Amino acid sequence: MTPPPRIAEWIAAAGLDAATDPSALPAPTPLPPTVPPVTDGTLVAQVLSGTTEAYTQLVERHQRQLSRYALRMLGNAQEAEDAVQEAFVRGYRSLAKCEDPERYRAWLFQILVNRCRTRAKAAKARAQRFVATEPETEPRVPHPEAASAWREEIDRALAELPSDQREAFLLKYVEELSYEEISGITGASLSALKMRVKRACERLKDLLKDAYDSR
Amino acid sequence: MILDDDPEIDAVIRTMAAELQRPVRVRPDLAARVMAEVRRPPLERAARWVIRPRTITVSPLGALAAAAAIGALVFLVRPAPAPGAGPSAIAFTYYAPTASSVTLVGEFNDWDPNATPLRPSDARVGTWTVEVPLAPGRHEYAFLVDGSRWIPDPAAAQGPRGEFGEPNSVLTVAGS
Repeated sequence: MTPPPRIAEWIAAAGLDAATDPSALPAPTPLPPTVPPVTDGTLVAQVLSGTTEAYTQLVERHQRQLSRYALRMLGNAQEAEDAVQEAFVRGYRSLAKCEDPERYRAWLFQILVNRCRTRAKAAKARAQRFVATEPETEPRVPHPEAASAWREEIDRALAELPSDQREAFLLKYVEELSYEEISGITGASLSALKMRVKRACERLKDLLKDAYDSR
Repeated sequence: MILDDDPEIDAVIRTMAAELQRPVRVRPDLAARVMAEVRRPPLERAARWVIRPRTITVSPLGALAAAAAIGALVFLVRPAPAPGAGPSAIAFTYYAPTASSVTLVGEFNDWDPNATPLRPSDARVGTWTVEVPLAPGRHEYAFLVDGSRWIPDPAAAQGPRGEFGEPNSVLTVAGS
């Protein structure tokens, strides 16, 4: 009996012939034992039991997403870095208050969102008071990501949004959190959040339509 | 991906969000800086907090009022020696016979879960104890049992709930 074509190919590739006794084939290599992933909850428990070093893993695990949110929200790299560092430090000092350690990321987002709100208010107050003291000739360092006109238009449009709409939009469509998660983070109701995201989208579409068409 | 699954999302928003989802540069020493800060002893942190520069906005009327208040204070308050107004050693005890660890967290140690562990008492089985120097004034605190259970001190007055709704105790240390 001729083996089906695909099996014949496999037999040929393995250097066997169709008459080989299957029992003579080498035993399959056992798969390595699967190591269960270290969850956020495990790391939180390790920190709380005195292994402070475990917090490094939590920082390294979540720093990219938190840094992205802070930069998009604040529009300033230095402010964003400071906000993220503050959030992680405050998170460590309040770690015992994290009720669901497996949801450490959402809990930390809650702290970061508050830090960003505080920093945005302070930056706004500074801008109002000190805008005239900044030399107009000061060279501006181009943001490494603001490479294209489209990108600049996006940053400009985001900055035009009220902060509560920008916050809801970023958490929903950039960080891709659920409305339930965002509600837990921001304290706003589901209906209020949906309205903020809807208004943000409408405004962004208006602001970006021309730039989008001329890309 | 939410964006891929939702056909309702406008192309402009979809394209914009995809652009914003690109990774950003993360400060290379972020984790090291965070860990250096969390390992800093509470007293050093408190000193840094005190000397941290702050910006205070005061309106002209507010400045006048502040100047008047400072003048009144200078007039009314007589400098007087305050012998014994320094920290007092306060003993904290908690009965937890089945616990494997109990720590004290409070404003005085910046709510650090590892800063002030209680030790099993030699005199009373099942009781954990620690002595902490506290300055005169009001202090909010709680016990952390087995690293995860946040428990107010049953022997003290109930304080206001914390930032995350957790129950705290309050203790007032009198000046001598």
